[in-house]
Amino acid sequence: MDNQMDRHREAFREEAFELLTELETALLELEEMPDDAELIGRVFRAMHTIKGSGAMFGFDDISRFTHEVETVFDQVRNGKIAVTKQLIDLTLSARDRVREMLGSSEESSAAASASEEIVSALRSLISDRQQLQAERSIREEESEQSGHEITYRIRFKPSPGLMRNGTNPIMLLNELGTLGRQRVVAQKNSLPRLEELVPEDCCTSWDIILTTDRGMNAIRDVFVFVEDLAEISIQVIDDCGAMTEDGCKKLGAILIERGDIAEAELAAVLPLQKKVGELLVEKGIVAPDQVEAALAEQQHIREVREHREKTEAGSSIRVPSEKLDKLVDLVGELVTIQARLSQMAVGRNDALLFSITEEVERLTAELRDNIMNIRMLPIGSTFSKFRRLVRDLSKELGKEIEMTTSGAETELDKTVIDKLGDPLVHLIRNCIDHGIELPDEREKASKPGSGNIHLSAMHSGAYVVIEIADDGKGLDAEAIRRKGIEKGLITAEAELSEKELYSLILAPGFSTARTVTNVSGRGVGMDVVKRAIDELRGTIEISSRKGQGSTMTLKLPLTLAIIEGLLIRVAGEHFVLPLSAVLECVEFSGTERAAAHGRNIVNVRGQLVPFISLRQKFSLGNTTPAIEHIVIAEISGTQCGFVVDQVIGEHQTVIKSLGSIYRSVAGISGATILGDGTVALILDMPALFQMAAAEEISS
Amino acid sequence: MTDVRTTPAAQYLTYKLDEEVFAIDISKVREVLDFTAVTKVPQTPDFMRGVINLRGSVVPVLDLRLKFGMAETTRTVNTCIIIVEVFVDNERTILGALADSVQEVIDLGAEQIEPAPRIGMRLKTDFIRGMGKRDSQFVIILDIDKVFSAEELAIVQQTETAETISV
Amino acid sequence: MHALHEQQTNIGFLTLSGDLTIEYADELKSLLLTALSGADQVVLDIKEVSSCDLSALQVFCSAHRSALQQKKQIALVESRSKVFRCAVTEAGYRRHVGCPADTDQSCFWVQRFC
Repeated sequence: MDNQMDRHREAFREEAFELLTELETALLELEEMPDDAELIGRVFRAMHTIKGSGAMFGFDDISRFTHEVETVFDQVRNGKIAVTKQLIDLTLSARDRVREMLGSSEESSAAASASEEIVSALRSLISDRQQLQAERSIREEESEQSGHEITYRIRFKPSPGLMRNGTNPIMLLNELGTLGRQRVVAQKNSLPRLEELVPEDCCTSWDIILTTDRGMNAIRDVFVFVEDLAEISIQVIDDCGAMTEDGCKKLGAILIERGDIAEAELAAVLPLQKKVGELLVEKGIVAPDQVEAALAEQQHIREVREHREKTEAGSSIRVPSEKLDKLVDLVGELVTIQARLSQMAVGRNDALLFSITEEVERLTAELRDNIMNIRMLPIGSTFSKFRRLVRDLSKELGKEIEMTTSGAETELDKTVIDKLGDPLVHLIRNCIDHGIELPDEREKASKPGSGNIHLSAMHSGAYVVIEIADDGKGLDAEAIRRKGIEKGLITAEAELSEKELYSLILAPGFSTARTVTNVSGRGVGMDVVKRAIDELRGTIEISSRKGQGSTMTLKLPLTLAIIEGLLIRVAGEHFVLPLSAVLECVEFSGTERAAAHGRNIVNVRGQLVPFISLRQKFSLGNTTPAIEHIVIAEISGTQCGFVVDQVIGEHQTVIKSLGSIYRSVAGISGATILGDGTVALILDMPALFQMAAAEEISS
Repeated sequence: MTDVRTTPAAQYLTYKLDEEVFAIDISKVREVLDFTAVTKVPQTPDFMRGVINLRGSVVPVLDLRLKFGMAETTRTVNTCIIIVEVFVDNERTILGALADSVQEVIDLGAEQIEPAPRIGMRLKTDFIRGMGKRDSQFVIILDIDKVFSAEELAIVQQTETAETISV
Repeated sequence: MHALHEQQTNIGFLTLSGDLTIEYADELKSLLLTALSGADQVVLDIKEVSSCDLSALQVFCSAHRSALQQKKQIALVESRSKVFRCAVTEAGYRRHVGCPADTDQSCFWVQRFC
């Protein structure tokens, strides 16, 4: 196999993984809304695409296998098979099977028999005759797909007896909807007064606008069983490209084209300078339902065209993420060099050079923002991954849990999203395992038997706030306290706020679960989550109410590559403090130091703030200057000062990794390159604060 | 154990630490830099001198003299940083090593390399791949992967965990 | 389908639950006729309805028109019932404005009401 083909196969694999994720999401939603035609369509399309492109790139096993699933879902789509739990379970395992097949180059015999099992179970869902039919219809549909979208106007006027033979017109409309995007407007002018109404009669007809790439025959197929019981007309009103130049038709023109009014009638009302639709209804020329349908048509066409323009003009391309990473690296270097340039220009006293430098600065900032923006992805894909987790785990533990989400469209840097997966899994596992109670326990506490986990994301300044809230039993503050004392994390006398108490569960080796289950609490605990969030330079906060549930709030920076920093100096060494946590800077004179009586506490406008001397902490230099400065920062809700020699100013900080050797040095989160080419370390203020607090406890 | 390759002549970069001549397999060497400002990372052992800016990347620099129990390297016009590529924990890592001066690139055939004596060396025999004999002078051929192995660098982690264990 | 009909002075309360499907369409029609004949105002509560098909939508729409003709009022309490809203949308019954008969703007199909 040549390289070209390998590349294509790789691309297929990537695409297939995405489709499988989409498939899983659709299936889990379908389980909740088994009648949703849109969802059934999504499942079908995902399978169909995997099958098609799988065959193209030589994944014959996958293609054959997915074909079986597709066949079943075609039947579901046609309303011949109902969506059952069994079907969802089977399809989910089929999806997992495809995932495995994508991962391994060779099929073991065990794997092959697993496939067989799924296939035969799927087949048993449909009778042989139906299957034959389905195979034929798929072949036809494949040969007939026109590839480009056409908009149709469909008029469906059933005879009164339609519903009496068991046809449900709503199901029919839904089936039509699976072909593409549609708008349905019911015409109910012939509805008589209640006294005269024969309730079993179908007294409604429909105007439908449908945009689909599936061709006229696919539409006819939908109505095939009701042909004798209805008048059906199908007209093409917008063939992609053919009608774009004439813009959007006026309402009057649409009504004439539809045969709802005569041209003369329109001409008569036009000079009256009022809304055409209202006028025509007022004069009794058309029924309001007809105007509604015409309006729907107008709007639908407008949307179709907008959509088309958007996809034609702003078509997207797929780029490997490494290329983007490289781009970010380059921008990082550019920002560094630009800082150097600016520094030089200031020293040169050359107006022309200065203005050019400023221009470069502006462009660099814009370039940086744009590139960072490319890497932004909605967090929704991560959220949907958890649906499966919640479903499977709650089943395993005999709990009933529903997961709801909000803010799935919130965008975050790709790297952040990638690294966020594991901690979120851990937190959600915790909710399922320790948070939400068993159904009978919940009912005893007069709560609904089914628990809820709500995942939400939203932007807040340069941060994204992610919340994981459950309505379970909440944290037991007393138990945490006892455990904290037992583990030597706090002293028996320690007076802690609720927030501080809860944050103890983030400490290494802390786990309040009484029994170790295979869901959570296998040695590793919340400290892993804490570490991961720290690495993302985020914070985690816990709030809880006993019996009502708990909420974990993660606050994460939008991007990892560049931050706003505060450049400071201690004994000739430069350091960067993340500006986001900095509240203010104050002078710290010798007299104030004396007033502290050796304690590391300073009085800032009447408030006592503990501080850490970086000079002492890092054993830097011997002579303390007469006047030092304190950078006051907020760390998990409390203020803390960092004593430095000099505050130099704000600094666009391109974050560089310190590499594997220095990776776990506490108190340092990374490095950056300064304008003069030297390296400055970025301080991890929360870690320094915690280290200082720990030293205090142990001494 | 010492491993004497039977390959034909390989090239080595020789350099001086104090008065002794050392050699590293040239394939491990990426480049040699003049000494530049090194930023110390607080709370790390002395032999880890800190980090430098290597064209936009942050690269750790180690002082082999301290590692081998000699006095700390003091800067002279000849002091330079040898940038090497090693594997730490199976991860490709770029590191800088301080040298008092770089000498030359030499060819040493397998027959010119002898196993290191078990005793009498001031440094761990593990670090030594062999003794190269050249013009009646011996050069110490270092196994640079061993010198910078994870266990050797683990000291960094230990000093760190010792402080934070109580958090 | 289950129905509960209560009368308070001249307001009739008709609470429906279960399946509003074609099998019960005739019954639904009679229920509404009775309710409308006995009161000037009818409140139709369908919060607990578990399914709803076209026949029910037709009966509701027709009942609304009849009520208005008799200068009576009929109001729908659906409290965002998913089932009902779904049926309304899928059947294309959703409207921007009511029909000419809708003199007091109480049309069931205008967004603000359902």
